[in-house]
Amino acid sequence: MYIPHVYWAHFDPEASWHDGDYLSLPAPKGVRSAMDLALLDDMFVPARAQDIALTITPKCQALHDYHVRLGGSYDTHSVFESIHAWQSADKPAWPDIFASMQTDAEKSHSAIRDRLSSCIQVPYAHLAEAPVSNVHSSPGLNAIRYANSKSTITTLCHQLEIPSLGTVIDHQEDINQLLDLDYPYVLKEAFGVSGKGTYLVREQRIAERLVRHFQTQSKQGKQGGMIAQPWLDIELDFSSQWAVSSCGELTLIGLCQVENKGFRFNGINLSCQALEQVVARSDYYEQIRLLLSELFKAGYFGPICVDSALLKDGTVYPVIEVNARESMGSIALRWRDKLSLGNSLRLRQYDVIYQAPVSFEAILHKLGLQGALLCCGQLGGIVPITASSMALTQSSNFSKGRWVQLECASKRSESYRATLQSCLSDFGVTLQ
Amino acid sequence: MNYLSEINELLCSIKNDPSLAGQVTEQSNFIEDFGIDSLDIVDFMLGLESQFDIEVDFDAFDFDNLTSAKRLVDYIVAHCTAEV
Repeated sequence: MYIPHVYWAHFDPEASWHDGDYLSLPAPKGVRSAMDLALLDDMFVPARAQDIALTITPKCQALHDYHVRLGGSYDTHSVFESIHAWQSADKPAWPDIFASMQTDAEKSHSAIRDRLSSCIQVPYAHLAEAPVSNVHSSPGLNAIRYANSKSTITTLCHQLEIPSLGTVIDHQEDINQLLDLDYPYVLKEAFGVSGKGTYLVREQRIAERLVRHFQTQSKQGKQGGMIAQPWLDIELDFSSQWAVSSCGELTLIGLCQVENKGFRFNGINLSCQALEQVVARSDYYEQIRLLLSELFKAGYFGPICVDSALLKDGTVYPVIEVNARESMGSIALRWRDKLSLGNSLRLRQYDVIYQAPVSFEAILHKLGLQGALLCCGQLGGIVPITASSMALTQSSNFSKGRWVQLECASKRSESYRATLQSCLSDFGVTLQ
Repeated sequence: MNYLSEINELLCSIKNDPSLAGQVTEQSNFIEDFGIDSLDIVDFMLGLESQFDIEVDFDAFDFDNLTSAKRLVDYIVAHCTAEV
């Protein structure tokens, strides 16, 4: 008998893995994850029709119906019955929800706990607080942190002789090395992600100030975790998606080109045959298998995304960082498989500003009228994959959300973007 | 010293957006009104240090100081005074 898999996503797992004893970049106290981040979990798509997507708030029914029409059926459940209920509960993300599951006896939460425990979980990222059916279904927190820490990955690359130009700032005496590096360079915290916990050091004056900051932290007992990477002359970014089974088997899920603007993630291109050929001619896969085997020996198993780059001189830089979790690349691959879309698929993410909660159903309807939506039997069009982050009511004059779409590419991204902007402007939404 | 004006100048520089000139008021929330995000925040805090010749204790600097320009000015004034 098939045991359903329950998919759930937490898009800021690094915050849960962070160690307060590590060195950290200047950041104000009391920063919380952006609320819209929690509501992107509806884009993590189950593989089979019997599987369940467990989201924090209900998936937009109109969007789900559209996905089902494209062939992507699956069951949906949510922790809260509405966005309003979620906002009232002030439990922004899964770690808070897991904590309340352990402390209160709310019926809705106990039902969620039972479902998580009785199904096979497919989490976007392993969290130590998540209820599991047995101890073997999730790696321990130390192994998760080991696999995700930029300093341990850089150290491992050095030990395994995988090309890596990163400098690990582990001890107090390492901090002054930051004054001797060539500018610019990138400082990264152990669990920084998507620009958070990352800083481009451009000049000596800034380096000196940051060294004083780290020395102060070091005197307070903090150390380790920080790395400095040279600014690489990158032709294109790419990532490889892997699965490490609980018995150590390594499976390559796919390779994709990553579109970044500075430190900001912009999108994924799954069509990258030329890149695949260049990578295949290098030692890339051997090097990554070596690295992942070491992570398994340290106790990690589960999804892994390795961020890499093709440099302008034609060399493959194998490991910029490792994200031992699912990624936007794996999400794009999952949607491609779910909807039987071709390899010309792209994923694009846009920040949006909106003035009031938006009716996603109305947006879908308008995109459909404009002929922009992918429909059954068509070769090209867009497929929005997340809706909730534009439905928040906030006290400020405007709210920030994210629009994430697949592009089944018969047109260029700029063309799809122009169509989307034209549509969204009628709803008071601006693409950034 | 016109603190709001100088903070506004810094904001325009960080966001690389001259159209933000004259936009900062005492009620301004730098996060929500001007989109200061995790990518900008280190530059913004280091910029405050340079602009006002203060040294911020980053591990003690409260996020709430960025949710109101008046609070940020109060913080700067307190730290300028403390160093005189």
